[in-house]
This record gives sequence, structure tokens and C-alpha cells, in this order.
Amino acid sequence: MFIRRIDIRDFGLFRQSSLIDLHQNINIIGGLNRAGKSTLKTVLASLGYGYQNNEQTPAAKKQYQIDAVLIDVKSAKYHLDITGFGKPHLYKNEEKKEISIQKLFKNIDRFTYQNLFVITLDKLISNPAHLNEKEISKLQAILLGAGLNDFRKLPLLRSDLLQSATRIGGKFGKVDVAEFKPYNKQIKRGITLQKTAQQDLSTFNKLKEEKKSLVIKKEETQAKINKLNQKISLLDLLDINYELLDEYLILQENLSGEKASNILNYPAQTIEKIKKSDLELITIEQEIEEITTKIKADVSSLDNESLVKFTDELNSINELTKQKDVYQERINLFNKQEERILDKKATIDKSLDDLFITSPEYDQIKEIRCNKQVQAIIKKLINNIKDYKIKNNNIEEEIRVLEKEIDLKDNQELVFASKQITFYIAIFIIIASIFGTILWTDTFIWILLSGVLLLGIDRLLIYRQNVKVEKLAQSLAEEKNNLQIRLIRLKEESQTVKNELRDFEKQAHAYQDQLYLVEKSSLASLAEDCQEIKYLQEMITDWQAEYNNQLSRNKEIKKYLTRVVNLANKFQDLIYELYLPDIDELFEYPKYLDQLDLINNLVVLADRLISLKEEKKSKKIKLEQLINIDEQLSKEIGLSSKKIIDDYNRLNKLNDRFKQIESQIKQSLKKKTINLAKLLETFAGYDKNSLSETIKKAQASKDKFSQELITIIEKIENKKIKLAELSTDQNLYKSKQLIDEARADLRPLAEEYAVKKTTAFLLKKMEEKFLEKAYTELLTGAKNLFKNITANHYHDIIPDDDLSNAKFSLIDREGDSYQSLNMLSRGTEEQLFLAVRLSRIQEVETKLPVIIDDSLVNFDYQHLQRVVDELISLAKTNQLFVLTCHPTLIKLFNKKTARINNWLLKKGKFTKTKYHNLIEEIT
Amino acid sequence: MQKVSFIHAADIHLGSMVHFTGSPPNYLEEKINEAVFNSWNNLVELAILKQVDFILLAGDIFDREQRSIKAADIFYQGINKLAKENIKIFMIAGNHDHLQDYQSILSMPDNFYLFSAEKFESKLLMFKDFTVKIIGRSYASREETRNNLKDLQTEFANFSIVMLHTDLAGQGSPYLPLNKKEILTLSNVDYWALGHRHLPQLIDKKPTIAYPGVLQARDFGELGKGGCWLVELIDKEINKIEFKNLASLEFKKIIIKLTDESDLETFSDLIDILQKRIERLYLQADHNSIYLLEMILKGQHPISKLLSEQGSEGLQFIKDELNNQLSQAQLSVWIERIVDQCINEFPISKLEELKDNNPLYQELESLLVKLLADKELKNELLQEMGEIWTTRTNLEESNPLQFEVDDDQLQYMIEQSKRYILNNLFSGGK
Repeated sequence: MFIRRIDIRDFGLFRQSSLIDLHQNINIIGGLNRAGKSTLKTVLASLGYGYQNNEQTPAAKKQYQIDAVLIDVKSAKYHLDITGFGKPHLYKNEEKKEISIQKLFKNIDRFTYQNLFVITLDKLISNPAHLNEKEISKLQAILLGAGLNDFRKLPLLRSDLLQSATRIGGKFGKVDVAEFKPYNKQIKRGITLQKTAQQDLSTFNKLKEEKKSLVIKKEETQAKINKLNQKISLLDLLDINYELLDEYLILQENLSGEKASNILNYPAQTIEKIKKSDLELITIEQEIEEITTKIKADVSSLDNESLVKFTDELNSINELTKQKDVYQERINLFNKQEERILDKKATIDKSLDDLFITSPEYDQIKEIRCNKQVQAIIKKLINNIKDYKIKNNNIEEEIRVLEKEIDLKDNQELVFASKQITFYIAIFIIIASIFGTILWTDTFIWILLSGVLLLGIDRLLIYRQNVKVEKLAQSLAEEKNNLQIRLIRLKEESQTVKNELRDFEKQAHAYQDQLYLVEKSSLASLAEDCQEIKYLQEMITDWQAEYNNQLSRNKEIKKYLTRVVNLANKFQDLIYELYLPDIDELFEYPKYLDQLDLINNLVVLADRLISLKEEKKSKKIKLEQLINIDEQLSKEIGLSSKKIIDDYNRLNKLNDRFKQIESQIKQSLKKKTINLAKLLETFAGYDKNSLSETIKKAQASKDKFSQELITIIEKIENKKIKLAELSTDQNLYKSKQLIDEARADLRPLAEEYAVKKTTAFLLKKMEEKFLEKAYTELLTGAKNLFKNITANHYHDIIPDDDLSNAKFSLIDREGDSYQSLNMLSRGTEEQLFLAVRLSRIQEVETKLPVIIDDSLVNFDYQHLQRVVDELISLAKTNQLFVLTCHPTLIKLFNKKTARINNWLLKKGKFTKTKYHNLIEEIT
Repeated sequence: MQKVSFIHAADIHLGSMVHFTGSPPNYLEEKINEAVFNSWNNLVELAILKQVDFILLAGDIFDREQRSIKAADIFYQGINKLAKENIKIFMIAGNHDHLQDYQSILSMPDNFYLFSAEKFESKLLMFKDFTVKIIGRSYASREETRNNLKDLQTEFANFSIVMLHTDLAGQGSPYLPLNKKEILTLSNVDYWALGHRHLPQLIDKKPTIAYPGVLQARDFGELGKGGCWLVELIDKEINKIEFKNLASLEFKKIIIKLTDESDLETFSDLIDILQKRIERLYLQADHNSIYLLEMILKGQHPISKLLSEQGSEGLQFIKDELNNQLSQAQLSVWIERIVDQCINEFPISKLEELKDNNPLYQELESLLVKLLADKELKNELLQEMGEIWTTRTNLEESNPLQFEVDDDQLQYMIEQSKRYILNNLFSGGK
């Protein structure tokens, strides 16, 4: 950027001054002292920043007013104005919109601009008087290059970071220091717990082994206790069962003899059979006795022959007896039937007698034709006779009626109507008079009056009748005549009917003959007779059939009765009460057949007796066989079944008691592990007294072992609990939790520490690099410039170890080092600082106007020439304002370059002039 | 056609637990604590369901540091269950459960075989149509340097499997120093059942070289799903090899870029954004699984200033709020941590100017670039970070007293430092 024009109002000497058409490169403002050069320097130095109310700034009469036209590198035009102490306002071209001053001045702040770009003589020393220590340090940063300002902050920043990092994690970030410590402790606790958990495995195995041996010990103790329990239990049982056992042994002895054992060992089944057979024999004998008694009561002799006689007929008598009731019934029925047949025959015979002239044979009768056809013909014939008779009778009756009527007509009196009524009234009065005589009451008077009334009425009716009769008498004569005519006709008709009737009767008699009927029999019953004959024919047929049946029944019954009679005959002599009639008697009195029951009972009894005798015989044989079954046994007990059974019963009773005791003992042994044998074996070793003593001892022993067992079990349980505790991963879980949580909290701290340390590290590295550069690169431009200015007298400029110190060391061409600036001449020092400044200005990217305010006065001509050369070179990029009162300098510039404008400043007024004139003016 | 199937698993680290902090709701905490055990139980169930013929366990089945009786018991129960199904188990011990430390608490049934550490042993399995040979050797101690494969020479079967616990890192590794090339010199092996690496890898198909990784991830160093390989052989050849997820819990890192969040002004807004992101994740997630999340805030946003001011307390507040909401919604998600990795809030224009004009800043920039490239400088910085930080990234030997710093972590810290420097050195203040 360069200034094309500047207008200054009310600023110190400048009431209304303008610098118009300033040169882009070099503008020399020449003026004598107090011409306004320093004021212009102040104006230019604050152009981009505004004016500050301080000693350096001249007071305004009214208000400062600065206007400037600025041109940027791209030749854009800007207007800048400053009013009073206000900030500068910048406008592009003629636009009204204000733009930031930064647009042109970039990041060059007021201090930097005023101390770097504005070069006054008092600044070309290491510690300019107008600056305080901080400002000197800042200046140094500016001189050494952009960034040094930031660089200056580095140590403090780093120190802060390190301090704060140290607070967190100590100097070296050890795991167990400062703020890391509690977390480290927690993690270590976790690790310890983890190790404990790992050791748990060994502990677990150890405990397991211990538990195992305890379990064995427990089992051994338990076994001892069990044994003692068994012993105590055994002894207790002995104690309880002592008497029983005693008896048991005695019984055992009784039962153990050879004979007893033989009997007891004898098959119970056989004994049972013997017992049973014995019992059966007794029963049989009793029955034989009973039957014999029974039979003997009815029979004369009961020898074997008689018995055989009985049993021979067993089947027949059985059969006959069974049929007895049936035949009794049949006989009764036969007898009844016989009566009926006879009756029936009598009836038929009577009918025959009644019907026929002679009694023909049954077979003849059966031959008569009297079927339905014949019956129908006869019936018709008889009906005709009947009809004609009726007809004839009717005609005759009609003739008789007519004749009577004719007679009546002759004698008729028409009084019959009144006769009746008069009769009823007379009856009424008679009955009323009877009642009146009996009752004689008011009622009688009323009844009497009624009779009188009725008599009146009767008289009235008679009168009416007489009128009618007179009328009728006239018609009677006519009717009589008519009747006479009709009578003649009827008599003729009667004669015809009678002739026909005779024909019919003739035919009927012919049939009467055919039917063998007696002559006297009425023709009217001819049809019924014919029907009767038919009926008789059927009756005869029925009777003949019944008669034949009766004959065969008779035959069958007789067959049965014959057998009965024959049978009875056999027992006639043997059975006391037996009476048997002959067959006819039996026919008449079938009740006699009940005699069969008597025979039958005896036969059955006889039969039973025989079979019982047989059974007894075989049973006896069987019993003998049973008893004889064992020779040894037979020897021992003989053959008496009674003895056998008695011994057997006795021994069994003992045996039952034995078993009962055994069962009682066994019952007490129930749920015990001791058996009877063991109990008996033990029983032998103790008497009652020593037994209770032994029990006491065993109990004491058991108590002791039980106590031991409890202790062992407790120990095992403890081990189990411990094992269970070890079996969980609680310790591991806790350790993990401790570690994870501590790490989670520790991590941000560690990260913070690491970030702080990383930052400090980076800052340190930056510082080192920066310093390294400062030594090698930063002052390179300044070195070259200084070399040029001093004509290669000095080769190197080295900054102070502390870059913030505005101190440099110089090395000359001989290699001599000038550590202190005090060792240098004033001119050299000023050249050095000028070179440093100019080189920095060149380095700064923002190209701003440079103001040289008579700062080259201490240079000799040679050096001044070289400085001017450098300034001209600088002016190529940075507009240069040279404020001077030294003609030599003006001359040097003008001689060396034409890119220059010369201005004369006089009493606050600028006049653009030729350099000669300018020199003249200020010389 | 003979079909044989087996499971290849390793690095179960029974006894170790999932690392988490805070107090998740009860419905989650128990599951999280039991996750490693559950993964083993899941493996047992899978084996029974698929009726596999045998199971290969290629080392580190137990965790040396966190070996517990409970772990032994749960393992034993699983083995017993498998025994009932007639499924055989072949196990080698790894560096975490090497035989020096191995203490058998429970006597194993016959279906279980633990290879000795003395030499390579082999077990021959006879199937109807072919034979399978399983070769393996346990670790005798924490380190295994015997890498001579000649020891492994044996008569091979129709299908041969070698179980090794190695990192395949070659020479110098304390964990069976072999590399892929070396193991491939044994041409008769059909399946290399490896263990040690914690992420599942199918390194090669023929012959198969496979790492199943952990069954259950336990921290953010084990991202992704945990499980085993289910291998099916048909007539001596591998017909199918399938990775089966058996983990009930998954660690997930979610990066949230805040740069374009226009409605983000307060922590509440930030909580809303994170919540929506979690909801989105949950919608796509396997609902049987629990998710432990690390939410990383990235990008450039004015909120980062607030985050930076509030520091870890602010992040903790956000985490607690979110976890409360998740608990109330009964979601199986737990936020383990929220990390602020937003880039600095320094105005870009100013930054540009600094880049152009400020040699000190330029110095910073060049330093930052150099830091990640220059090993020496990086080491110098790591030294500065103190003992609490270590570069040892060996998961096997991690020291809970220290934190491991990887490049990401370093980058994050450097970014934070840069942020600090910009704000405190170049912000123009005093």
C-alpha cells in the first residue's frame, strides 16, 4: 500500500496542509528544524490506527482532520479519514460503505508499525528510551520476525502446562503419583484381588482335599455310630424280648425232637386228608344208621336180599313214581271223558228219536243229503208256503174285515167319543169321593168343584160330537156300497192263492220223505230239520272220533297201571302198609297210585343205604392207605388216625405258640437290621443283669462318637461354604469392577495429562525450532544487509540466548565476536538495528510505508551511501518517507534514483520541489 | 457319502469378564457379567443342535488372570453335556491357560482330550468312509518358542487338522513364532485350527487356515462379532465353512459427525442427536444382543467449544443422561463412553493467515506432520506422556496400571494439543 495524497488539518503546525501526488517509491520531505517533520512523522505513524491523546501528539485547536488517498498493490484507491481521536475510516473509491482498515494494514498493529516502519534515531539502539521492558521485548519479537510475539508467550504457556500436568501426574506421569495415585491404588487393589482370586484355585483344591478327608472321617465315625446303634438296638431288643426268647428256646427244644419233628414235618396235606376222611366216615356211618332206622319202620325184613330187591326196581319205581301224578290226572280225565261221551251219545240218540220215524244207523244218517243247497231249496219252498199262507190269510182277513165293516155300517151309532170322556169323569168323581171321605178337607171341596166343572165340559163335547155324526151318516151309505164291490174281488183272489199253496205243500212233503222225517213233523220246520240233520251228522262224526280216542287212552293207562300193579306185587310181602288194588280199581280210584311214593321212598333209601355202605368201604380203604403211607410214621404213631391227629394237634399248638413268639420277636425286629438268629445268638451270651450294664456302656460310647460326628459335619459344612464362596467369581468380578472403574476415571486424567504434556512438548519443540531458526534463518536478511552496509566488515549477527532480550552479538570478518553492543561504535549499533529493521520490513508481507526520520545522521558518508542503496531497494516494495534536514542525504537519494518526489516542508506547508531547490532551501 | 462336522473355537478366556463402567440397569448388568460364560454355553448348544462330531479348542480357553472355579465349573458342565451327546472335545492350552498353571479342578469325562505340552500328539478319529487326524500341542508356559514343525511330522489321515496357538507373526514372537509360509510347508494338513488372534479370520481356504477369534468380545479392542467356525466335511473334503456368532454382547464404536448439525446449540440438542443415532443403530441391530457403545464426536462445530469448556464432566453428563433414557426404554444398549474428537473451533480465516504469516504456527504445523511420521520424535513425545501411557499394544500382556496409546489415541491427543495451542497462543489474546 502507498499513500497517494494526504490532507492534514488542525494538527500541530499543519493548519491546512496537503501532500498531493506522493510518489509510490520515495518521498523526501526536507525541512529545517521545527518545520513540522516530526509532526508529519506522527501523522504518518498513526495514519492506520488513529491518534492517541498523549505527549507525542500535538494538541488540536479544534479537531484533527486527516484525509488520505491510499492505493493498494492492485492499484485500488481508498479514502481514509480520521477525525479527532477517532478511529480511521476507510472507504474504497467513492463508495460510502466503510471497510476495515485491516484491509490495508492487515495484521500490523500500531506498536509494530510505529516501532518497525517508523525509524527514528532514538530507535536504533538496543533499548530505546521511550520503551519499557515489555515493549522492548515486544520490539525484539518484531525485529526477529513475526511469530516472536507469540513465541514470547511460549515459556509461560509451557510452564503453566507443565505445572498443571505435574499437579495431575507428577513430572514424569508415573502411574502412582499426584492425582493418579488414588486410582492407581484402586487398580492395585483390583490386581491384588485378582491375584487372590487366582490363588483361590489352589485354596479351592486344598479345601477340596481337606473336605474329602473330613468326609472319609465322617463316614468312619458314622460307621462306628451305626455299629454301636446296631449293638444298642440288639441289646435293647434282647432286653425287651428276654422272657419271650426264653420261652422260645424251650418251645424250640420241645418241638425239635425227632418224633415231634416227624409229626410236624409230616405232610400237612395228608394229615388234613386223614382228618377229613375220618370225619367223612363218621358222617357216612351216621347216615347209614338213620336210613336203616327209617327203612326198618316200613319193611318186614331188611336183609341184603330185600335191599337188592329194592334197588333192582330203582329205575322202574323211579320212572313210575315220576309218571304217577300224570297218570292220576289222566285217569281222572279219562273218567270224565267217558261220561261226556256217553252223554253225547244219549243226546244224539234222543235227537234221532225226535226227528225220525225210525232210528236209522249212525252211518245211514251220515249218508242223508242235507247240505246247504238242499237247505236253501227247502227254505225257499217253505217260505213260499209261508208267504202264500200269509197272503191267503190276509185276503181272508180282508174279506172278514170288509164283511164286518159292511155289518158295522149297518148298525153304527156315533156315540163312542162321549162314552170315553164320561167314563173318565165318572172315575175322577168316584176317586175324589173316596179321598173326600177319608180326608174331608178343603181340598175335597176343590176336587168336587173340579168334577162338576169337568162334567160341564163333557156335556159341551157331546154336543159337538152329535153335530159331526149327522154329517157322517150321509157318507156311510156311499162307503157301504164300495165295500161290497171290493169283497167280491177279494174272494176270487183267495181262491187262486190257495191253489198255488197246495202245489208248494206237495213239493215239501216230497222232501220230508227224503229226509226220513216222521210225517207228523211240520212242514214249517222242514228247513230247520234239514239243518238239524246236518248238525247231527257232525255230532256223530265228533262222537265217533272222541270214542276212538278214549279207546286208545284206555289202552295206554292200562299199560301203565299194569306195570304198577306188577311192581306192587313184588313188594306186596315186604312192605307193611302196601295195598294195591287191581287195574279197574285203579281206574276208578287213581288215588291208590300214591302207594308208589311209599315204594319209591323205600327204594331210594335202600339205594342210598347200599351206596353209603359202598362209600364207607372205600373210604376206609383210602384212610388205611393214607395211614399206611409212611412206614416210619406208622412205626412211630401206629395206625390210629386219632392218635395221629391228637399228636399232630398238640404239637401244632406248641408250634403255633412258638410261631407266635417268633412273630412277636420278629415284629419287634421289624425295621431293625437285626435278625432273629443274631438275637438268639446274642441272647446266649447275656443274663438279664449283665445285659443292662452292656447297654449303658454302648450308649456312652455312641454319645461320644455322635459328638465327634457333629464336629466333623460342622467342619465339612464350613468347607462347603468356603468352597461355594470360592466357586463364585465374586472376587474376580470385584477386581474387574475396581480396575474398570478406576481406569474409567483415570483415563480422562491420563488423557488430560498426556494432552498437557503433549502440548508442552509441542511448545518446547516449537520454541527450539523457532530459536534454531532465529539463530540460523531469522537474521539472515539482516545479516546480509548489515554486511552490505558495513562493506563486509561484519559477517554475522547472533541474537541473545534469550530472544526476548534485544541483544545481539556480532562476528566480524576476522571471526571476532562482539558479545556486547557496548563494544561497538554508535554508528555501527545504529547500522545494526537499521539493518535488522529493514530486513524485517522486507520480510513482512504487508507492504506499508516506511518513515525514516533523520535517523541516518550518525553514519559516515560511505556507510550512508550504502544505507541509501538499501533504502532505495526497499522503496521498490515499501513507499518510503525520508524526513530530513540533511542535504547530503537528499542529494544521495536523488542521485541514486529518479523514483522520488521531493517536498519542502516549511512552517507546516508542503511544496513539491526539485531536489536542488530543496537542498537550497534547507542548506 | 460320509458327512462329518466340527466346530473350531479358541480364545474363550473363560473367567474373564466384559469390561464396562458405571451401573447399567439390572436387566443388563447380569447379562454383561455373564456374557463370556454365555458364549461358551452357546457354543455347547450349537454343537448339540448341529450334532457335530467333535470340537476343537485352540488355546486360551481359560484366562490366566481371571481363572476361576466358576469358569472351570461352567466349562465342565458344558463338556459333560457334550459327553451325553457323544461329542468329542480336543483342546490345546494357550499362553493364557498354559499347562504350568493348569489346575484341573474337576475331572473331565472321556470325551475331553487335552493335548500335552511335551510334544505334538495326534488323535485319530475313524469314520465310516474316512479318517480324521487331530494334531496339537499345548503351551507349557506363558511363552512358546518351539517352532520346529519337524516335531509335527506324523502319518497323516484322510483329513488332517493341526491345532496351534500362534500369532503367525514369525520370528521373534513369543507365541509360537511361525508364519504362514512356514506352516504351509506341511502340505498334508487340510485344516490349520489356529488360536490367539482375537478377531475371526479365514486366512486361506486350501488348506484352510482359520482363526475363530474370541467367542465374546470383552472390550473395545475386540470390536465386531465373536464366535466360532462350523466346518462340514463331505467325503474328506470341506464342503462348508461358516462363521457362527455366539456372542451375546457386541462392542461398537459410533462416529458422529457434528459439522453439519445446524440445530445443535446445547447439550440437550447433542443428547437428542446421539439418541437418534442410537435409535437408528438399535433398529438395525440384532435385538438378542447387548451393545456397549463408544460414541465419538467428530467434525467441526461451535458446540465443541462448549464441550471443551465442560471437559470430561460435560461428556459424563451427556453419557449419564443417555444411559438413563436407554434404561427407561429398556433397550439393551449401554454407552460406555463418549469421546470428544471434534476438531478445533479456531476460525479458518485466521488459521489461513497463521499458516501464511506466522512462522511459529508454521513450525507447529510442520511439527504435527512430522510427529506422526518421525518415529524418533513420536517416541520422544510418548516418553513425555509419562509412564501411564504405553505403546505396548500386546493384548496378552496389558498392564491395567497403564493405558495403551495407539496412533488413533495419539492423533486424538495431538489434536487436543493443537486446539489448546491455537486457543492459547495464536488467538491474539495476551
